[in-house]
Amino acid sequence: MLVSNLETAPGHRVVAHLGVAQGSTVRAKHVGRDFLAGLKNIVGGELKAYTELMQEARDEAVQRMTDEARSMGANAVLNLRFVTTSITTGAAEILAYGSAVTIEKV
Amino acid sequence: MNEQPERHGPLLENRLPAEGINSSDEHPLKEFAWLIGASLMTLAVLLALVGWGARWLAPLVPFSAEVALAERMVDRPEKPEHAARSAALQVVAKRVAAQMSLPADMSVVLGYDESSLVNAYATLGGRIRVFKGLLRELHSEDALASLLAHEIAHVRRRHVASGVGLRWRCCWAWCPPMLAQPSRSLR
Amino acid sequence: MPWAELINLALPLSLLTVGYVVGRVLERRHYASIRARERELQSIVALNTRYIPDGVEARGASVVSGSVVVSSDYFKTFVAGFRNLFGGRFRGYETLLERARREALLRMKLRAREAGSTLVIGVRFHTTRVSGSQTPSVEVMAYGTALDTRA
Repeated sequence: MLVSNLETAPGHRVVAHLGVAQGSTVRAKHVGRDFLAGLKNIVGGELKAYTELMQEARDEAVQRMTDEARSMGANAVLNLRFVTTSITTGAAEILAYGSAVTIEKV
Repeated sequence: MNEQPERHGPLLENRLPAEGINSSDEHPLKEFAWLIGASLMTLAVLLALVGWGARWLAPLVPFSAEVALAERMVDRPEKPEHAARSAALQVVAKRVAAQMSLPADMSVVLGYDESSLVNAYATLGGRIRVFKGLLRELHSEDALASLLAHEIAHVRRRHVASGVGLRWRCCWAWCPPMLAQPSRSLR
Repeated sequence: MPWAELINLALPLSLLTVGYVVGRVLERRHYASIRARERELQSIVALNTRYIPDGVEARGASVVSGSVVVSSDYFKTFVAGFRNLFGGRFRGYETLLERARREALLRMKLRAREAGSTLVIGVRFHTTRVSGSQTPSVEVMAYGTALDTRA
């Protein structure tokens, strides 16, 4: 399924707008990784475990969004946007939403 | 459906997506039970590890804690006629301990036991008990000093604590740890 | 005194039970209400697009928004504490946030209908954590531009 954060799909024409498809997930890493990240806070730099966590969460959110779009009968998602919120320490919510549309080639 | 009759352009409508994509139908108690179960298992594993290492971990407990425990569990009121004998033993022990460079925070407390067993033991908190039977067998003060040096060595090297740890390992969580460590007799 | 210890244990347990039972009931009811209102407000179209779609004649536009603050219940927070140890998905929180989002979108659509509009474009979501002492509360806001497409 085509997923894009553009308003239009290149080489395609939007035939129908079917609504807003949303995908969200709330995830945390386990306490071992939290502890190591806490140690990393002393020296600074990239927290690989958390980068991984956010990446996994984002992929899952986009997956759920496309699942929703598919269930609405769409074949593409445009205007993709991400929203990230921290719910509790160590847990983050990623929301991915976009326009569920039906496109066809021009 | 929102369609203006003479409109060109794409169809505009809101279709309702399927349920259960962003939420979970799973019963929350199931997740709860799984998490509690996993936590209990982790706790059990940790306790098992600590129990296994108790023999080596117990001597790390400060001596003052041993003394506190001994005051609660080992010390018992002494008959006045035995007090003099305990005091005499204490004098010899003090001299021997001074020679053995016993650490300043450790001290030994001698006790006399009127049983006719030929034995002596060191227990928690530097408490050393000598039985009447053994005292009768000793023929010189030097022999007594050697005996006391042996027991004080047990105290100094925290053998009593690791013995408790060892017994803790063997009877994990079910039997109370045995407190006395009878030493081999001096014969 | 054994009673003091029992009370120490009984209080969190009863909070957990109340949180679970009442929380579940409230959640079911909320979902039922959400589904009913979604069907009712299906005629108000909310879209994510940034531009006015082809063929739509708009005489005016106004910003409409809907927001809601939801809080987790005692049971969910308790379970989340364990989940934090082991990692993975917080199913309870995901459900909570989905409820909040759908509610916010519905409130926005209601605002649009009150303004006489049937088309809302440029829909955006915004989620913020409202600082609570222990139980997390989250505000979800949905806002967009309601087009006046009356002839």
